[in-house]
Amino acid sequence: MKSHHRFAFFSTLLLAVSHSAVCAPTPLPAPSSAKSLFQDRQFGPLPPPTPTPERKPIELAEEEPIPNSWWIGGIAAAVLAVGAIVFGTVRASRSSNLFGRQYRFPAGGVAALRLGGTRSGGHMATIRFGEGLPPSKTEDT
Amino acid sequence: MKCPSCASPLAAPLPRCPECQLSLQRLDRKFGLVPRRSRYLSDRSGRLALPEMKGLRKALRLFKRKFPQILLSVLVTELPAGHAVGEYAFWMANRARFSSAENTQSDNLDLLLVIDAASDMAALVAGYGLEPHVSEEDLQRALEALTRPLRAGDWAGGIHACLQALILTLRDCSTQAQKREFEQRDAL
Repeated sequence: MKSHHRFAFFSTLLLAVSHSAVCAPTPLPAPSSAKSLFQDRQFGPLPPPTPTPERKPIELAEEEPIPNSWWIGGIAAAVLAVGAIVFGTVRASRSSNLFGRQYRFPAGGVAALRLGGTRSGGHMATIRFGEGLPPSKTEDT
Repeated sequence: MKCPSCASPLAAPLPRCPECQLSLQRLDRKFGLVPRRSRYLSDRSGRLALPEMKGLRKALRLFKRKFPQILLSVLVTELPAGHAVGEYAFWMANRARFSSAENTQSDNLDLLLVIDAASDMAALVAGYGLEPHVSEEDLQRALEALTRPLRAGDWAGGIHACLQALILTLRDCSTQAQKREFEQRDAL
């Protein structure tokens, strides 16, 4: 037998074997009338349904009045707190001299010394305030 | 300016008054030794109670804080007959040295209030440094606040009233003086 005849023979044989292997049907299990796979009520009979509780009416507790001692204590505490805040604020403002502005005078020139005085030359005002005297200008205004 | 004794005007620097010949040396011979005094308040007449003196010293310290350049001293006394309160205030302002000894001439801006309980007179004298800024009319207005309380016998109230009037007056004078100084600087 020649070689090409041999190759054709084996190819045909291989095709026939593979075709028969692919087209063969898979055998299915045969149906049977034995026991069912599912078991009804496996854990016994169903329990009775849980009774629905009755709706209870909401009972509001009676409001008790706040004792007078609580009112007095609260007011006293509030007054003390406000007083402490005011006291602290006033003390801080006074110590920091917030409103105590300082006033200064510019330096003067050469003083004209009079009557031998080196600190004051008699630049002054005088007033009589005794009783029975004519009223001052302040009282007139 | 006027002479503290005869009130004649003094226009120029003079060693003594041309009218009455008043000078500081003459007053030294008249009044003698400088009496004991304290920095803020001295009462040699016994008119002020101790709590009143404490209150007045506190007010005078506050005045010093408001006007740091000025020391206002108050002297309540009873002068012998014939001693004018104006002369005494002028003499004490120069001899008593309530503030630093270096505060002389234009560096002295101190004020001295002298109240004579014997003659019912008071004097308010200023140092050389206040002369350009505070007029004698300003001092007079502040001093007149004394009158009503002192007539009612309230010595501490009178001094407090004078102090308040003086604060208002000096505040205005300081503001005007600062304004004038700024204007002069701007002009230059």
